[in-house]
Amino acid sequence: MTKAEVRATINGRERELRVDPWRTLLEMLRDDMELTGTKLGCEAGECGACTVLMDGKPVVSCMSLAADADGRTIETIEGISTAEHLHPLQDEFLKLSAFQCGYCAPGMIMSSKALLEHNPHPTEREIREAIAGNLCRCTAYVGIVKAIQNVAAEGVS
Amino acid sequence: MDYLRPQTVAEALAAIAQAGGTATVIAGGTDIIGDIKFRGLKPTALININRLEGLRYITEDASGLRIGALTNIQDLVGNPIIVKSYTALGDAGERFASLQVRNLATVAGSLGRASPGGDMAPPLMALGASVIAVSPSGEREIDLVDFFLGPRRTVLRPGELMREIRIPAPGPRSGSAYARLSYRDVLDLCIVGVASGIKLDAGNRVTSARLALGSVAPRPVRAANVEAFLLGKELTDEVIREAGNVSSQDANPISDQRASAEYRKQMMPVLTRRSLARARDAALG
Repeated sequence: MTKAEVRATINGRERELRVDPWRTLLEMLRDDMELTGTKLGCEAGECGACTVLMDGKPVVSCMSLAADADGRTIETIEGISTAEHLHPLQDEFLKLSAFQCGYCAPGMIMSSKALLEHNPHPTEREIREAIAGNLCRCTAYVGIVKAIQNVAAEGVS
Repeated sequence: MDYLRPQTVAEALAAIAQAGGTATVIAGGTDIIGDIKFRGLKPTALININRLEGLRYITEDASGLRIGALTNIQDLVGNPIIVKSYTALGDAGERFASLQVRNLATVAGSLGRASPGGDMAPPLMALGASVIAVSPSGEREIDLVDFFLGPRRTVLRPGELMREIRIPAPGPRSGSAYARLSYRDVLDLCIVGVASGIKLDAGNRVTSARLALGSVAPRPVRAANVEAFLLGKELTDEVIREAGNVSSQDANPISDQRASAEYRKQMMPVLTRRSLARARDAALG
């Protein structure tokens, strides 16, 4: 059985892994690296719970080959905060109780982060477009949009 | 399972030839991964062409637009050339799956999938696109009208790869648009999709009309009756309304989990009118 070599920068650290060729990026992150913040939802690319940033762009990690992370920069929910400091998006989501069950939260926050990085002052429509691929089955969207608007208004530190 | 990641088209073609028909070629992966995990696909080898050099580009010259096979769907969105002259393709790009999928999925991969409801085919057909396919024995150009055989079936031969999608220059006073209907705007397959590509003369008479319908037949189809009806007519609101009625002769959709045949049949005229009205705006804008 051939293995695929993956050399990637994951949450700021250079990593080297050998994975089965059909292994998904989500499986590599969760099962091989124990980065379980990224969630498995539909496993069909339709819910956004598994959203991570690849070279800064949001992708569904359940529909991406781990092998395709080779040479790329991957950022997951674990990479955006430190033990002492949450990311401003995380702070604001908590403050507004912008989640109920929280299962969509890691993906939702990664999509929001990608948005604010290339568009620091989005309109409400742009925010809704940016998170359109992230489903919240608790339908907490109003709070989620508000949290992103608040962070945009304050500026991401 | 063998795993190969060729760097060049020549290497990829050699790898596919060597695997002898039991290999699966994967690029963006957003369909193939599901096939492997849930739909029983068991390739002997996975040939990852996602990193082939020089196949991700959108360029325009006097002859028209060229799109590299590995161009991501999201690369189409907001591209100034596409926004200006190939509106239908931008319309389809914006509403394709979700941003997270568009950042992975490729234009050629979507065509190769040959889904009856795929959003790339109707606009590209309405724009007169063709596919450049390469094999060890050379290159050929396939008009997209002749490309699809049915769900997941195309005229591509074993060992052939798509290299480029070409769209002829639309010329002045031409416009295109893609109108699609789905229950949700995002992450929802199309119930009916209609793409229009038209050219108008100085009197707004239609000198060329190409319309393509998605999700209403086993493969994307041209709306031949609408095209014949439009030719030579001044594109007034009334003509657009009538063209919608004519569209119901151009396909016999089936019922499935998304919509009934009757609903699709009712919606074909509606989407045809929306698509034509926007194409006219684009031609005159």
